[in-house]
Amino acid sequence: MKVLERDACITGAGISAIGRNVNKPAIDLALDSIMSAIAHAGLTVDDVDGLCTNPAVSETPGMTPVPLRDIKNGLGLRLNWFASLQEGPSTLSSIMTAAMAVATGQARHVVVHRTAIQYSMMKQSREAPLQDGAPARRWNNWQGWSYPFNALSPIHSHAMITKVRMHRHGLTREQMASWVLNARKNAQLTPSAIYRESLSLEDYLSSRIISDPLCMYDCDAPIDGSVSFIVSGVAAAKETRNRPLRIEAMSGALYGKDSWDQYEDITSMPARDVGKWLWQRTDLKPSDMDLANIYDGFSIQPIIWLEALGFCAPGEGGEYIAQPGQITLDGVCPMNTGGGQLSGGRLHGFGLLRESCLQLWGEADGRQVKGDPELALTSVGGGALAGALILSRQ
Amino acid sequence: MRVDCLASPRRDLPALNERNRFFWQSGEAGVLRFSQCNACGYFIHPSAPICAQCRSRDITPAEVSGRATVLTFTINRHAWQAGLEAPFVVAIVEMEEQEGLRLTTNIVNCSVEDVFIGQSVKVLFDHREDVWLPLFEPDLPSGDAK
Repeated sequence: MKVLERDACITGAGISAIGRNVNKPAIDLALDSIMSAIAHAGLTVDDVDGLCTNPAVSETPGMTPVPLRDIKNGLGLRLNWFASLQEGPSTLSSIMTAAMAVATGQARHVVVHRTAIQYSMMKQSREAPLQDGAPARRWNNWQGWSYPFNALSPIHSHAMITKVRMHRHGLTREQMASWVLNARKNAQLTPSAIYRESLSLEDYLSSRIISDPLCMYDCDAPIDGSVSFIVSGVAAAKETRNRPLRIEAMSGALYGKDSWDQYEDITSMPARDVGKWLWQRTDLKPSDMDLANIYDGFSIQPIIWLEALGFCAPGEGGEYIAQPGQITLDGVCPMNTGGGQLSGGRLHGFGLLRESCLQLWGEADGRQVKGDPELALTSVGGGALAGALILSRQ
Repeated sequence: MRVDCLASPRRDLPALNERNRFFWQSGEAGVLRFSQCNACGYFIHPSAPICAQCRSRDITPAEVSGRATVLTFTINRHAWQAGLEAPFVVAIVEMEEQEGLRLTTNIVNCSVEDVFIGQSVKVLFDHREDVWLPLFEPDLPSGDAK
């Protein structure tokens, strides 16, 4: 099988100010991260001939506040190819689609951005609650099947996955804490992370339960911010400043129902399919990875992902992450080296992908993984959304 | 602790359309209905104009027993909106007619501590505006007091 994504590389990464006191319009955040990504790659705006994002629109406030048009027109881009994507395998679908664009020669350098202002929008809605007696809000899509039951947050789905895993596999809160505490330790070495205070097992176990068995520390936090990448074709990558990070393999497979509650195996969700297809596209194995940044919008997600990706057997994710010396910065396979989303802030996977890139470029400063890492796996998404890719500096 | 979920505010309801209206309004007649394939008998949820098993286009709503099993659940402890009282139970139940035919719902008419994985439950309806939300309660053997 010819694996065409290997003709695509990430050549630059940029980030805006992120957090809860950013106080900038979404378009400015997007422009900040895009301009910094272009500069990081050693390119100019005129070198950009492709543009991509996901999602295009969302019913969730602040999820995707910048229309692609505002970036095209704002920067005066001359684009050979562009796409604002909707039903894709997680936010990574924009990176994967950009990779397909450069691998087919439709574009040379594609800017891919992910911008969200969920914190500002949440604050705004808290200040202006729905009036008593007003008719109910009406919802389409997956929200229409869960919101009417006051299952108003993705935490409910993830709490239910956690519960059934505790029931079937004996997963414990102590095991989950090992992921959360590792992320926090790494965040303490990451200046841009939003939660950097120390956190103990006792803090975790005694914290407020939001929806049992998940507590406050099992959830990431909405922030405002933007992350952008430059995806370049292998030939075009030679014009850039950094060592290109080739996409070794990528996967957005879905073999079951696209649904949060009808997907056949609710303990694995489509991450299982993504894992299957990913390893069919490379001779590498999970044990070859020098590090991994695994989606952790909720602390149960890495457990699902690590089993789906074959780092451990199904049902053994809890034991895997709790093993001493496994996922820590000096461990067998360091994970969520920049604090993940739990402590780093919710950038919908783009913060995780940027961290993988920084590690492979040797730009991770105080949290740099030892041994000059060359291979990094990034997985993104929870519930019905899942995508993953492996970057190689070889 | 028992919280009567039937009295909870529900500020968010499904947008009705030609495909889902029968489902959300079935409860007016006290029954639960799902789309069913007339060719192979497969239940299709959410409703679709084609059967994902045999690709027949002969689909009509069909009444089910309303009996289900708790596949998993969570006790929500956080008050997400003004007036919304915690705790309450969010669950995914699987209908007895077909493996994988599931609903996200609330378990009501019992203590939140009494809900368990594998529990037998039966449907009841909570009427809000033009929608009859299918909720579930413990399905006790007849003769047992609640």
